[in-house]
Amino acid sequence: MMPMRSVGEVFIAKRAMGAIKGLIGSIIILIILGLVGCARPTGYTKASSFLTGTKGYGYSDKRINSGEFSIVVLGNPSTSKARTAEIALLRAAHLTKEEGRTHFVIIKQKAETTERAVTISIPLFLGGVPVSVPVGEKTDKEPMAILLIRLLPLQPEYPPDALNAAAVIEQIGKHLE
Amino acid sequence: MIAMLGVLSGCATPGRSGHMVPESALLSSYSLDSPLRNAIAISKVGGGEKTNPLLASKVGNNELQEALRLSLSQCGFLSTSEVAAPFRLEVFLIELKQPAVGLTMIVTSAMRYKLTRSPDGQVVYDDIITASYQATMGDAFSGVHRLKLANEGSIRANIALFLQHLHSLNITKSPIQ
Repeated sequence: MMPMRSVGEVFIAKRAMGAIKGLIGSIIILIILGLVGCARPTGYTKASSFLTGTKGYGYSDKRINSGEFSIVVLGNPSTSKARTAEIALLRAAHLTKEEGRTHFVIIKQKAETTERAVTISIPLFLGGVPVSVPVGEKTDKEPMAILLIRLLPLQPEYPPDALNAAAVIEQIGKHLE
Repeated sequence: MIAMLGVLSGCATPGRSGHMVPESALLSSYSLDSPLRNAIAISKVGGGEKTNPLLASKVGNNELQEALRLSLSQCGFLSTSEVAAPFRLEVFLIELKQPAVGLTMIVTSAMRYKLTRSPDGQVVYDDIITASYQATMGDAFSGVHRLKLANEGSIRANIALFLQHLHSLNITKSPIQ
């Protein structure tokens, strides 16, 4: 025979059940948000920095010397190589303007497909506490575009291989920004 | 919390130069009459990052330069004189693509190698080389150490590819030849 529970015990049990339901709901929402986030191609955005000191998706750049820069774009698995190349070109144009110049030339460019090992985990509830348990791994393909550029000093005429930063922003900025 | 994780998993340290040198057995032996024999001086190395002990392991400029010096020396390319070297090498670490977390860690490095002939300043080689390396749980249990192994392996593979390119390079030591 089941012992009779007091009103207080029933109230506490209901509250605990509500908290667990809320937790499960939050996990489902997070999973859906994660999936939706991954499904969209990488946009024109600066690569985020994680707390671990590693970079996320987006563009980043480094100064090689006074007039040369490297630009790298890391795209998520939903991003095409062509799109990462466009983001790199757009960043080159914006960088040129930020440095007070109007034209740049491309010294080198490279498009690569890189790999990232992704751990597949399932949530298990141990004593009511959700614990992520790894059950396997998959390898995602991610595009990477590299651009080395040289900024040209302001001058009346530019060589034929020079790119006008304003024109690049006008042409490809519309559908990326 | 990050500091605690750092303590628990061991502090991050930069890639070790000796571990970024390709094994000599993997490289083809250089030709005795190669114009690059004992002819290259490393003039500039850039793009590396200092390692924050609490964050992810990186590859610093000093460690990269030492790894390049050891690699060139091992293949018989390094000049004994930095001033009188017929060729000058500039290397720039464009990108070290690292995972934030994971069981298997794949790191991709992108480096620019620029080789200039000293007498006339002609660029005889200028290219971006990318290379990847993956470190698994079997290599190291600690994530911090696993990432460092992946960094080192990626740089090692990158330098090995560059040395292979050098072996197949058809150039002359002097512009007159």
